[in-house]
Amino acid sequence: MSNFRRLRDAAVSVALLVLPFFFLSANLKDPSRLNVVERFFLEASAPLQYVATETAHAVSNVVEDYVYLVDVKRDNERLRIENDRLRDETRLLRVQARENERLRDLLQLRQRLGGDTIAAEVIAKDISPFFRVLRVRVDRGARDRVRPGMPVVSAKGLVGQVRRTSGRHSDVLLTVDQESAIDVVVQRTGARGMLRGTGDSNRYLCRIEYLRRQEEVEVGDEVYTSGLGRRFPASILVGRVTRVGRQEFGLYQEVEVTPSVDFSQLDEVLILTAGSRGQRAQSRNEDE
Amino acid sequence: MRRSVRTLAFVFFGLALLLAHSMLGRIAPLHPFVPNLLLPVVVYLGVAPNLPLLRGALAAFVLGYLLDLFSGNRMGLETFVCVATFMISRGAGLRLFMRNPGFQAALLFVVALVAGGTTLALRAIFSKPPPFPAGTAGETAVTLVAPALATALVSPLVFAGLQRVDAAIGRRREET
Repeated sequence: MSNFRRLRDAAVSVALLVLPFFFLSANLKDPSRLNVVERFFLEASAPLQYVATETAHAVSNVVEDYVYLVDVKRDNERLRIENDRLRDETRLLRVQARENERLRDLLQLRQRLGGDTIAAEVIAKDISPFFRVLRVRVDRGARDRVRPGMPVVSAKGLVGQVRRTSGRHSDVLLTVDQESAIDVVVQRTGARGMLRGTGDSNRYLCRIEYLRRQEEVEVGDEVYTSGLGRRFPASILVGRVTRVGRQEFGLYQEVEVTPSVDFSQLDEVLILTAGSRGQRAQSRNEDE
Repeated sequence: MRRSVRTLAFVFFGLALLLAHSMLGRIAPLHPFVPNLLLPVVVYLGVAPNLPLLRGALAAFVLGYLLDLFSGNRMGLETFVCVATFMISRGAGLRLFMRNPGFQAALLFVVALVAGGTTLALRAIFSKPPPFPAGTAGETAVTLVAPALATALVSPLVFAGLQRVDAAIGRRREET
């Protein structure tokens, strides 16, 4: 390396040392006390300084944004898991709320009916090819003092009666079953008849038989158990009239009733093991 | 041209450290044990073999300037400290101290102390009032020693990184 080069490098290096010192002193000085040279250098370097500062900020922002995004990704993952957990909890709470509501209705029904009742849970359902429930099985049987013929009700109304029992479970004959026959009364007019299930496998339907032609019945009328025969307590909702057919001749009219209970959604029921309040009152009246 | 690539590689390595440093500040607040990651780079420039004085000084200048830009300091403060550190490393013949991580850490502790002292002194000279950036002598000592310790601890890693960069460039040069 030549002496000139060596000298030049040393001079430039010293300049590189002096330059920042000079800028530092100029930058920190009171602007009113800057001399002409300092003012010139500061003004000349200002655009370069601006570009450099902006570039540094941009690079710094990109890096910070990246770090921020990494945080966001982590947060997203955490929130997704939390969201899933909360959804599960919400779903569970909804199920519990529905169950709670059903049980409360059942409790109210129990208090309204009086008498001895046993709460039972539906453990099996026979389903038709049209997805209609044909028979249900409950988790109470002979061991729980359940006997065939005992009425089975839900918060929505009459379900049917116990058909047969075994140790720990019972089969229930639904009101829509062909074998089912219940003495009923139309609440609005007091018209009485015998409610029989149609056994339709594609819809829940009953018919009121022996309802005289002259009895006034309309679509929408509510049908209740009459309490006659003492098998079913009086005043349990059975369903609503959905069709009334009067022929020109004949003694009776055809009345179709849709049960108030949706057997597909049946989960809990009450089995009336002893006479209800209504039943007892009626039997007292009959005795007198 | 090839020598410029080497110098540029050191500068970019320093820039990467600077960005890592700013990220580290966001993730884990280390105050007062904040390492100066550029100081080992500047010392390495001073002791690196076959690096011309002018290129080394220029690289130290750029790194110091970047440090000023990123740290929001008064323009020139870190630039001056970096160029001065480079000159001292170059002039003092510190290559002997680069033999093992222990020596490297010890050297960087001293250099960081001197650099920190210089920064404080420059602030004291140019900014009036307040006459001194740190309140008490104890606080001043912590301001000087804590970053110096942190810098000393990380310096062997930085040196190892720089040696790898140097070796990679050397291999490439041999291949071409």
